[in-house]
Amino acid sequence: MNPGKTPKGDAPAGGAADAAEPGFEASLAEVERAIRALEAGDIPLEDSIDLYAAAMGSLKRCHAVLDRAEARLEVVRRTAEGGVEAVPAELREGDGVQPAPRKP
Amino acid sequence: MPAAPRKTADAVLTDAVLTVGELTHVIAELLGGAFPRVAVRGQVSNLRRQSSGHVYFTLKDAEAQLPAVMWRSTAERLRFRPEDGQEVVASGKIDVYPPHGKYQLVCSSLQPLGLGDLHLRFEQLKARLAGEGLFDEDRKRPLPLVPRHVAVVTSPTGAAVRDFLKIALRRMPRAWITVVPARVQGDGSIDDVVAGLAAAAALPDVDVVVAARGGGSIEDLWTFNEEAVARALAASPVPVVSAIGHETDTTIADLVADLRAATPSEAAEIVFPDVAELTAQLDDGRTRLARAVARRMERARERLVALESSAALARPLDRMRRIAQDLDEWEARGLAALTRRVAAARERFGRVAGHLEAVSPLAVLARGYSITFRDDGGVEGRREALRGIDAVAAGDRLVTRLARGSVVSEVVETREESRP
Repeated sequence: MNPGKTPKGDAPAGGAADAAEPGFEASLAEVERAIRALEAGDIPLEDSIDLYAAAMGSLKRCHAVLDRAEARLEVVRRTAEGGVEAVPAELREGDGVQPAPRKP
Repeated sequence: MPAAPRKTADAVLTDAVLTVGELTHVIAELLGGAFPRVAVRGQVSNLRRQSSGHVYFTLKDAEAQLPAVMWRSTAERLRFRPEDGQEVVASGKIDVYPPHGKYQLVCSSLQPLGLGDLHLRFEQLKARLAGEGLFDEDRKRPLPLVPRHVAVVTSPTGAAVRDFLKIALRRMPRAWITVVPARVQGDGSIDDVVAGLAAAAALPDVDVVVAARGGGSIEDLWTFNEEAVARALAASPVPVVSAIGHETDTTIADLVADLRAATPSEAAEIVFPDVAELTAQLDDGRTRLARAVARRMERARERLVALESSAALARPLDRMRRIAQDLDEWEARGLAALTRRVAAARERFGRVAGHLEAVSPLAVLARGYSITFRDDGGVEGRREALRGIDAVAAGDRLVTRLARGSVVSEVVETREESRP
């Protein structure tokens, strides 16, 4: 899928990490495990149905991750106090990435 | 006051008081004459590229500094990009710029000095950091498949950030990306990149940092071979992707980073998933799940049907059927036997009945015989039938039972019968 040079995983972020909920990759892995198990076919029928329900839950979590964000471009700049802040930005033809003008 | 005609240098040097212009003019001639072509070695600093395309800089060493200018035509022909801090050999002529009272080197060619030095420095730093384990594979952290927030340390202008953003937003339209502006070459670039990497990793929810810049000469990329930058990358709490220069350039930053991309565009491909593809994969997963469960249930049903028709389950049924069959047989046989017994019985009965029939008084009566009783009003059944004349006398009323009906009569006389 991606031409990554090292394998990917659910790396915990340097900032807040969603420790409670399994992340996208873990959920996707659960779905694939469920599919393989169900296709192999020697699970008791009741367990099959439980597995299906759990896998649907994992799929839902995956979709939630993909749908959660809103497109957001920001740029860091110095504050008057000498610190830094991130502000909404836009990509302009000549100037490149610049703070977006504040909306009236 | 009208300007006086230019004096010759000789004339000026004999004057007691000169105008500024006059003196400067002489100086220009002297300097220009003395240094029509000179090659100067020094360090580039304060390099400025004007919008006109002309490049202004200062060549300096420990003792002195020399302002220099490179006209656009010369600058465009350069095979490398000079930058602050670079040791160079600049060739050209000295001239004087009277309005500023400055002399300067008009640079017609520029060569980097000591390319060999740079390679050496590279190899030395590389060996040292490798020895510390900064390049080890097991230090490298994986990237999340779907990043929450990506920070990119790069120049806010230029092709690198543009390419990166274009690819990023095509693959993941709803991405959260923060650009951390930094000079990526020349003076101040080391501090900018180091500070930028720290600021990037501290942004909320950031899970990938990208350090990116476009292609350039080894000198252009040199900031990313600096120890301070290498250590800042190694110290990042968040996985870092380096995207420095082109495919063929390898900087120390590339070796230290968790992941190396050949270009900023490739970095965007590595960092951001193709959401459309992922969504399709999820949909495909849903379909396969549903199909697998449906198949599983179908298999269960098939097994049930197979069991029902298999010998194992059918044997009891067979037994039951056999038993039923036996019952039928027995029933049939029993019925036949019964019928025979009934028939036999009926026959016997018939014979007996025939007998009975034969000995029935009714049958006797039917043959013409009759029974006679004395009619004394008693119940017929209890009366004795007349057998002899001694039971009657003349004048007695008699009832005679015939086969059909009865006769009431009176005895006229009695007669003794003679035995046949």
